[in-house]
Amino acid sequence: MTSAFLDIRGVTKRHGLRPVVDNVSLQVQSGESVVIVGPSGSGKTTLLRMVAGLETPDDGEVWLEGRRVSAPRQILVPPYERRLGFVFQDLALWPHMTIGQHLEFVVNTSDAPASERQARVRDALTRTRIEQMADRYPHQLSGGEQQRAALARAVVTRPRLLLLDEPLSNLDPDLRTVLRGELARIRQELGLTVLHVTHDYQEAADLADRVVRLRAGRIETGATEQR
Amino acid sequence: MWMVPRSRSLILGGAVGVFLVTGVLPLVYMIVTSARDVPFGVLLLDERQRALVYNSGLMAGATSVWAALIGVPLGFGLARVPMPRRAMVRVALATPVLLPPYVVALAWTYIGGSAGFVAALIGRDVFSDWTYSLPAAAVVLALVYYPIVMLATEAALRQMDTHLEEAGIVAAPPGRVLVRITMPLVAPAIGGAALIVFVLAISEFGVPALLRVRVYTTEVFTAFAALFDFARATALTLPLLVLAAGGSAVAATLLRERVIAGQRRQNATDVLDLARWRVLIRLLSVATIITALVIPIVVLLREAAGTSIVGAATASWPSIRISLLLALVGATLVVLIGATLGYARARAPSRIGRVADITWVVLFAVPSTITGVALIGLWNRPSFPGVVYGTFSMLVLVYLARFVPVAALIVAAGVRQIPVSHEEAAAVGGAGWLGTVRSVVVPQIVRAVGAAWVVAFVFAFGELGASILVSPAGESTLPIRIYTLIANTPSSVVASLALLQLTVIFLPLALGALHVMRRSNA
Repeated sequence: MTSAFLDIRGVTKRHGLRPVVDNVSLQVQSGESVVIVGPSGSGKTTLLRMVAGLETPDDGEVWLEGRRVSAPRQILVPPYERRLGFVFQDLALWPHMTIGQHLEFVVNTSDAPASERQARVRDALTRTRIEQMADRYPHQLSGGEQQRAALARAVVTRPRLLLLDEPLSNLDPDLRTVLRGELARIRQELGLTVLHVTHDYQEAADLADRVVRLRAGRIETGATEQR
Repeated sequence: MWMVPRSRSLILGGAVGVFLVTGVLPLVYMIVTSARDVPFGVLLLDERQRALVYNSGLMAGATSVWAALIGVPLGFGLARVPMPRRAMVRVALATPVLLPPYVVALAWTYIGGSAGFVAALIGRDVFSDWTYSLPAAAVVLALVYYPIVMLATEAALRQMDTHLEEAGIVAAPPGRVLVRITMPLVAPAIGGAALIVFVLAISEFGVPALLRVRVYTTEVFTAFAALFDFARATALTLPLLVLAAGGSAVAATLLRERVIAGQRRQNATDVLDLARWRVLIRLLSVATIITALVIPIVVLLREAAGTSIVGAATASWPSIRISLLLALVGATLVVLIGATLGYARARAPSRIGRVADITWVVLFAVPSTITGVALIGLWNRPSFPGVVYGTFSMLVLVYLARFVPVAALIVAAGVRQIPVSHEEAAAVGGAGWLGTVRSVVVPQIVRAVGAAWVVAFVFAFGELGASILVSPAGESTLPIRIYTLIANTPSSVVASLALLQLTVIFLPLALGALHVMRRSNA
């Protein structure tokens, strides 16, 4: 058993013979926001994908709320049963769906009654301040609005864990600053546990309870910084 | 002030000029003159016309549905399901599209015809009514054209951003992601490919002619070749032309650039968990290869047993020789013009490029019988152009009119893989346009040009629908000879010639595959 909300134990992922993530261990407590910082190619995204269940570890295990969800070369709990939200770097908004349909697709997989599902969709749109965008398609939105839509999709099911893969990296500096504040607000409001990867130290400083530095697939010794 | 045109303008302009004269002008001339000369009364929907519309639409619709039913799962399999020797399986599954459809139909008549294999096996004729029917024509055409849907599905899946599915799988199980996200995203490609199949099927002459199904193309042929009624033949081409042009334009718009397969991201998990379907997909692949490729060849081999292929070839040597010569010359000219146009398309502004793509798909979809009628209308005249009519040059014009668009599309896809900066770097270094093309572009598109040549050669060598209309009197290519021998020559001789035709088609394909394998190993 483990007491951490998310417990990554000695996880390794290799592409060919080269380890992309090399024996990484990390614990995240419930309600905590941990930001992993590192340069391109340091293994941040791969680590996040293994937590989501989108990739299998070659070695090591991932535990979520005391339950083993990934083992070496095995997905024990599929992504859709891990109750998590994921914001991809490229946002991955579905071009054939309106923003409202995005949220309905995600929330309709939950066990909640129909009225509550609708309430959740409205709530997510309101929290991310895109209430007026529900009937629009992704290509009809600005970059910032797309970012908010991706965040709304990730939080609409009230996930236990929110995974953010450099969600602000494609925005201009002003918009990035605004959305950083929005992210922090939504996290506070929903009491989310967050694992966030970025190469932007300012972003890490603004959003993290704890910053972890990753380099060449390894957590740098002495690089964990409590804030 | 008069200026010497630059080499780039001269070469690109020359290719565009040849393309317009050989591919576009005959059709435009036919449409313009038909307004004056053609008895449009034949187009009124009397019972005969309604039957033609019904048969043509039903045959093409059934073909595209069958082709989609076979091609879509195979496309998913090739893109997503673990498969040993995937490249070889893909080549084997795609090969039927290069077989002349009437040769495949011929093989199936040797199975289900009144004196066919099944009748001989059970001692009575139970299948010949079905074999010579519209549903059978649709099945035969689907077995030839399903690779178009398969390859389009695979290309669409490979080009799709895997994050789109991953964003779904974080929230919903694989079945729901497949239905709500994956399928809608690849549906335009599947729809476009099915529409291309529809247009090719409605344009097909050899299969319905052989299986005695009355459709527009056979009616055009009858009006021209049997009744010598050129005006009626021209009038009959118009509804077919509108259908083919409209359908292929919509298809080209739906397909966009999806016909060029990209590389799927490596090391990505198969989020839809399609690996569990691997046994079913492998069984379907094997069954399809056996049905569409192995059975027709084995049946032709069995039918040809007892007849010396060498003897049959010797007896038909003039047709074989002229077919080879025309296909070699035709494919080379097609690739010269097509490659130049393909380069121009790849470097054109995107809007012009899209128009060129749609135009080429539409022109390729023009039924072969219409191409034949249009070429005759333009070139059959007493004055200067008339010297071309009645010679084998008409067949080269057929190949240019029908296959330049295919070569241009293939080469354009190759050129688009080369960043413009490669050429700009050479230009900044002082190289002229011709030198840049020779030293920078051509070495990078050798495979695309080679593929275009092989495809043009295979298509030219198997061309029947237009060739049978424009061929000089008393002369015939191998496909025409096979088609005319079917009625009054022992089936063993016809089967031998069909096998010979397949051998010639497979030879450049095998050489091309060997070349690719050697390069891969190197």
